[in-house]
Amino acid sequence: MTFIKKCTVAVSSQTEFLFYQQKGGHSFIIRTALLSRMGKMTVAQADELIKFISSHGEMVIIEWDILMEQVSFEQASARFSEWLNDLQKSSTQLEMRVQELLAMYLRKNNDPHIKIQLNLETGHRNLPSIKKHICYLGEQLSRIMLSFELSKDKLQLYRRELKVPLEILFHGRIPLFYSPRKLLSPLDTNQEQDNWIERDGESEESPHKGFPIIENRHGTFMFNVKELSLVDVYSELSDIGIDYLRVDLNSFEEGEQFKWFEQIELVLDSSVDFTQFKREYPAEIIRGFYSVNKSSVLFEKLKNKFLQHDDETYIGDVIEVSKPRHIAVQIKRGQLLIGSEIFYMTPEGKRIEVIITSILNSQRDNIDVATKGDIVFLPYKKSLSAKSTVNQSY
Amino acid sequence: MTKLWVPELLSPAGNLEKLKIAVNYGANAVYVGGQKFGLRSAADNFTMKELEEGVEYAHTRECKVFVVLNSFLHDEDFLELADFITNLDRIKVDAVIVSDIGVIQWVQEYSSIEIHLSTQASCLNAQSAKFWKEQGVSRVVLGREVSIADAAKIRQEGNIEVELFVHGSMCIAYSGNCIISNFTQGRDSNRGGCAHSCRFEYSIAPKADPNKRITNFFMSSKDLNGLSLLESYRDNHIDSIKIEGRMKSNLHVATLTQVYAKALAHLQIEQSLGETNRDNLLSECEKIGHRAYTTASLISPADASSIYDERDGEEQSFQLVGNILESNENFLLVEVKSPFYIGGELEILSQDGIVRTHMVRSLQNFYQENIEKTRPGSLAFLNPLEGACKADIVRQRVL
Ligand code: SF4
Repeated sequence: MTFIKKCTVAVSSQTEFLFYQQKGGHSFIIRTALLSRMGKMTVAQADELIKFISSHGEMVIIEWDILMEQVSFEQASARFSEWLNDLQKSSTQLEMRVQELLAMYLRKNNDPHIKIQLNLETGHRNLPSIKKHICYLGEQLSRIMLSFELSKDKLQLYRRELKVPLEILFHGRIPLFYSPRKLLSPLDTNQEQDNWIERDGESEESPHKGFPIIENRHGTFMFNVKELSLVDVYSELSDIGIDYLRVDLNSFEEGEQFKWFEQIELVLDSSVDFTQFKREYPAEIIRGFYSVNKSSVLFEKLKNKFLQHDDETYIGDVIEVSKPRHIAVQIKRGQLLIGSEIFYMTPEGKRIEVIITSILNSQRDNIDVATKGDIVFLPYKKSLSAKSTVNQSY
Repeated sequence: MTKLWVPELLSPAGNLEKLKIAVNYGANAVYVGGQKFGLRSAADNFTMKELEEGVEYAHTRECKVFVVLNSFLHDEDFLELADFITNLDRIKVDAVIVSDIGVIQWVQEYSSIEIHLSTQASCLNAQSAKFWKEQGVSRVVLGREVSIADAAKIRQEGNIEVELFVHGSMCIAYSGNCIISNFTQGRDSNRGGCAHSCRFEYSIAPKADPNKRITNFFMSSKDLNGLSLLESYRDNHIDSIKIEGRMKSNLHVATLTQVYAKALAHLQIEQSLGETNRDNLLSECEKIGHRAYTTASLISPADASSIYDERDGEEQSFQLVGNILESNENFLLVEVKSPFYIGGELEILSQDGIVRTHMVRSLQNFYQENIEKTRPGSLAFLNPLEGACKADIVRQRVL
């Protein structure tokens, strides 16, 4: 059987832990309702589970990924410090999985020896930023969770450039949205217990049906309709040298969770065809941006280059075209002289050269020169539209 | 009389025209975007030359210019970043607004420009503020989830300037924590591609009971309006109050900048805005396109009442008619943006703070020919109005 290399999973019970341990699981994430977006365990329950995992000689990762305003941060950090003190008294092998600001907080306010796994899944898709974090956390940093929006090329580049262990989401739900506001409970008065409401959402923006939405004490979370799965590129990821692969099947009940984990293993073992796995898996699965990420290409919407005013020749803008009588111009820079040669540039890029034979001001007086701020009326020229620019020909 | 301290008024400027409007209508500072690196890719934005002109225009009128660099930058972007930063330094922008620690490092390396932390970085508590200060940030733009009282605490404990939103549309997610459009439309919301999926209608059902469906705009936020809490902003010493909206219209920028500038001017003299004054200013806020208003988390965490359960459509009671190009004893020359008629009633939003009503008694073209109705993209000569000035905004009630 192929074990997933340094497989990282979240566990919420002893059974789950024993199952994944036997499957070669390498590190075990503990999610509490106090600190984790998707955490359900109380600190006492987590404490018990951590001790159980430690007694089996395994490493425990406490996840803290909720964002907190001043008061909730003060409360949670006080509670956490107390808990951490207790845990450190026992010989627990412990690491913290946090986002950047908490990492800095932990570094400053707690045991500087506690290892930090830095969660950079949201944003931070550039090397200067990641390197800065690595530099800041130094020896205390034990791994970085990279964004699930990175393409294969980027993963290769980051592997080459970053000298720290790297983790990515290998299979699981894609988080899309995190709001501190409670968005589901106002819709339904028959709420479930424990501050935990789960719904499926269907957007009018077809064809997006079945977004898993969860509201809990930390706010509202939405996941993508499709789950991420890089199972079929497992060997590529191994070649790239990604150190840790995270499998997140925690939205399933225990039995289902184990079943699908084993199915993934069978795919890796070539005992089950990936297409078959894909067909049978309860949610549609995608590779996300693994092959290529072009999500920003469309949005480098630059100004129409024909209407840019960076050129030294720019004098002003056409503000009215009165066919066949005149062209009204607002002078924005420099001056416009009678007899001078100018050219109009249309939004479509058409250049129209003219010699200024007459300039009228708004009182219909003939003038020889117009300066910045003036509104002037020039002889009509066809093919022009408002928004064309007026430029000096040198 | 000694004037009371009031926060800086920071207005949006999506392009050079809007920058001038914001400055003319009373902003103490404006925030603008270059053609790259700033989240609002769909805004008009500034070329470097326009930025230079904008900075000069603002500085001669004692207004500061902050440039947003708050996109989550990809590695390729850094190739052009150094040049961009050096140019910003050369033209003397007052600060850059940054969300990424890597960008902070580059700004420090290539310039001596002051650095503000963007709201995209979701700075929500004093610990975060302290960290960012250590990194060289002089001001944090706090997350919209932060209350005024907490902002004051962050300012004090973090020993750092704080900027807090006071008005405008709201992202319902923690800033930087929504990537819906990345996966549904292939547009990166953290790079300006947000498709506003939170404004869509959703039908929601329990997984086990799909027939129990509720159709709702469950994740659409009302717009923030903190005008009625302005005394609290002042008393808590919030350094800067920010109006959202680089994508918004000229009318929007002019109206809100003027409303808040007037309110702050009043609060420099009086302890409170007073009921009549407040009501007048609030009614001005109603004249621009907006969703229903909320104070969101300014006092306590935003609750169900902050949700805008309606289809998104910015209904507005007034519309922009145009702007005055010339004003003299003979005529008002207006650049027309939307049609109006002879006999109609217009409002001139004057830069001196007065809203002047203007009856259109005479409406002519350049050749002094009478016209019944104007058309967008044309110039109209109207009967004169005392007090109206060049660059004043003209609006009319939507019928
Ligand atoms: S979809 Fe809505 S919540 Fe998401 S980034 Fe856009 S405005 Fe914000």
